[in-house]
Amino acid sequence: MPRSTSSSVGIAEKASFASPLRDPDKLMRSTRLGAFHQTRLSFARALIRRMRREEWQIQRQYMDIGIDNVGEALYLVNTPQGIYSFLAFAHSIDPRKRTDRAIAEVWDYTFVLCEGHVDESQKSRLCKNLPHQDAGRYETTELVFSRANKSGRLFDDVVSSLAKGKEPAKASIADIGYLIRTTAVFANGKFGIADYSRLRHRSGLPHSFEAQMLAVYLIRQFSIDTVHHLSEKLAPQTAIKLSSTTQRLVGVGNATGLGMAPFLVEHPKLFNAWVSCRETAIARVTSLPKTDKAKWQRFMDLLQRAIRHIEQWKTSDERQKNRLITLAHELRGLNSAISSEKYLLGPDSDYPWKKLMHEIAISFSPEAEEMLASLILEPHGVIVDALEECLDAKETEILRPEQAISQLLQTIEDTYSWAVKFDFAGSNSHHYFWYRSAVKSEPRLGISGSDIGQHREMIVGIAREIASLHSDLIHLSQAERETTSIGMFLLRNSKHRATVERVQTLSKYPYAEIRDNLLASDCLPVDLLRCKLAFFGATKFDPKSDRWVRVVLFQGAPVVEDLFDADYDCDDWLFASDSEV
Amino acid sequence: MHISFNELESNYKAAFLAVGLSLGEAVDATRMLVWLDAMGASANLRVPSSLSRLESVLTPRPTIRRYDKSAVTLDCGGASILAIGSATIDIGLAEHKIKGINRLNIVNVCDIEFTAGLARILLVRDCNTILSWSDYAGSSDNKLYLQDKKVQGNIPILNGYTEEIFFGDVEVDFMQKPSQEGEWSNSEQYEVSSIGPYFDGITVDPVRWRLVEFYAKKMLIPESEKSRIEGAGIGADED
Repeated sequence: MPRSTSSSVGIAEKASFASPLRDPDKLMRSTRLGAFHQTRLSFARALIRRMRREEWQIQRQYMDIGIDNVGEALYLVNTPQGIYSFLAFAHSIDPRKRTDRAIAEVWDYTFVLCEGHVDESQKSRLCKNLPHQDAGRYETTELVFSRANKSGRLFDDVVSSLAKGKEPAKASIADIGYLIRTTAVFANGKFGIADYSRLRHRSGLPHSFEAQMLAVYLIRQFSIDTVHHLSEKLAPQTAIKLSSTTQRLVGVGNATGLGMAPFLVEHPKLFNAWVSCRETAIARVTSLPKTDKAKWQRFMDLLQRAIRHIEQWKTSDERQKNRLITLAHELRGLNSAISSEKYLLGPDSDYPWKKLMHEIAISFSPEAEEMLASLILEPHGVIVDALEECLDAKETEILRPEQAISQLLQTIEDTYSWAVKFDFAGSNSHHYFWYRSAVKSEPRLGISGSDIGQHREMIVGIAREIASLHSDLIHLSQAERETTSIGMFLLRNSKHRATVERVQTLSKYPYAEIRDNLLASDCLPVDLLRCKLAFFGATKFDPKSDRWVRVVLFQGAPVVEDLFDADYDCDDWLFASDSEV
Repeated sequence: MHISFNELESNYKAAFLAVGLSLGEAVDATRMLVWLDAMGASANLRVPSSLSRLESVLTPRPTIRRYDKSAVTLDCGGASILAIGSATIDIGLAEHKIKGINRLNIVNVCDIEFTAGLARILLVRDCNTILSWSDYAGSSDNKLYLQDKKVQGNIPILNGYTEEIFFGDVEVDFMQKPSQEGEWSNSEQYEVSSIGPYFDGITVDPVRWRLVEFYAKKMLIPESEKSRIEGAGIGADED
């Protein structure tokens, strides 16, 4: 695959696009972000491409797990940058203690991804610590640790079915999407493991969430291997393995809570990089003056696949159910309304992707418009995939104390008008506050004036901070605004220090801020969780409340065996369904 | 006890917020201390007593004692350099860039032993600067040069457990106008090439570290009932 360097992509291209980048005022709203889907730039997709490109070798060294679900397994990942070990422990637990909640103390499986080989002394230490997860301690050669529980709906049934020599129903595997479900994936220095700086500069896994994605991919392979292993243990004479196509339908479940929302607020330059790359990719494709038959046919095939995927996207959440009904209706309508004659040969053959995105999809629901964005990127890997090199950012914010107050005020009014417009006098505008819970230090939402702890709140309500700064600045005299430096202003108003630094730093980053009031009574954090998970490559978003969501990762992705098969297309798994993997 | 830099950073920041610093001040104080720890200066040993003082004593705001073409002198009224250090640097930088004043004197600050941490703030801004300080006990050769993004000279020794409060004065000489663009990438490259411990975490004294955690944990709040019953993993009747 042709690859350009990172210096050749990005915002600098903006001027040359026939089709402009989309307006951040439209895009950076929670409801829109909460309609994002996997794209070929999602981290899971980029990881699989890298594995194939660099010919990574993944080998199971041993799996020693009894039918009582106690034991361990070890995988080695051999890459040009080095070797990684993935160690899994299986535990027999009381089913009543099996929970996705953060307060859980036992899990069916615990995992760790390490740099290099694991020797006996490290294994012995991990054996003592890993089953306790965040109550244990780890070392800097350990990159990621995680835990997972069996799916009560699927795991035992699949083992039992395979043991009897019967392939489980493909449709139920496609619908549920996973055999085991992770409840947390820890990295970036948590509990003593490798810091982000080590991941980025020394681990060989430098990209956003790349180490975590590798761990989850290995968890997925482990889950497939485990049902094979256990069924064979149960009935060595009759046991069979899942067919290749069924194996690919197995993803990894994940339950995600509020913690992901503050992440997006606290890493604005990184978030800007993610959205900018996605939008740049869309602009590249919509700027193409023509298409060809092969690309158009590929798009139409993917559209069909997406419709089938939506049919298999189950949710109990009423809001999401309604969105899926509309989404399916709009995509079916699109499927019958567009024809290759019109877009390849007819009067609409100029800028066909732009017409799709900016003329047809503009009337769609956000779910459909964003799904269409994912679909049009798919046939265009050659001009899109190099953007994955731009998905990282240097995050430091730099304060410029020499700036005059009047200049800062102008910046706020130019780039933060969305924040200043909120009326923080009304109680609905600061209905919530965010805090870290004493249990597990996880971010939580409290109700202002009712729940305790507001004086210790996390700064997630950026709109309120900006509005407060703006209010203090406009009350200064015109002379003060012109002659006083920000440095002098902050000497007297230290509470605004972080906000000033943020405004000065981020004014050139159009997609850095979520342009909503995240303290308002109508705030739905689940939208932000979905946005981040879409960048990971998750699918089948199933909100369980406005504060947590269940998803599937790597469903449809190639299994390890496929990576070694030169004839298998490892990059064709967007919106997988049981009819096409 | 070995901890990661993420743990170091998140606990410092939470501890500073808990003792009353604003978010911006807490972030800058954290930058100072993490850098010192990364350079092997063991700031973590000394910081618990500073946190205790910051929590119990109101931090005065610096005032301008003297201002002329050659220097700006800020009187900090005994405030901790962890709380007001970056604000004072802001004044120096602003006056240097706007009016070409090349000297900033920061007088009457406590926790003077953390002064080298200001180098972290200056490095991020790519300043070509000499930072020097003296404490009232008489030592006067604590000097750190920041020239062409290379640190020369010595990092102050913070070994030992003494609870003495060190007051002193700081001088910052801005030797030329800092560059306007690309500052962070250069500084980060400097960091990556020069500071090995950033990759491996650091070893801390467990007793002292628990004191830092004690303050950091003050930022944690008992979960509300609504939050408890609506959090991740709750209410799923199928798994």
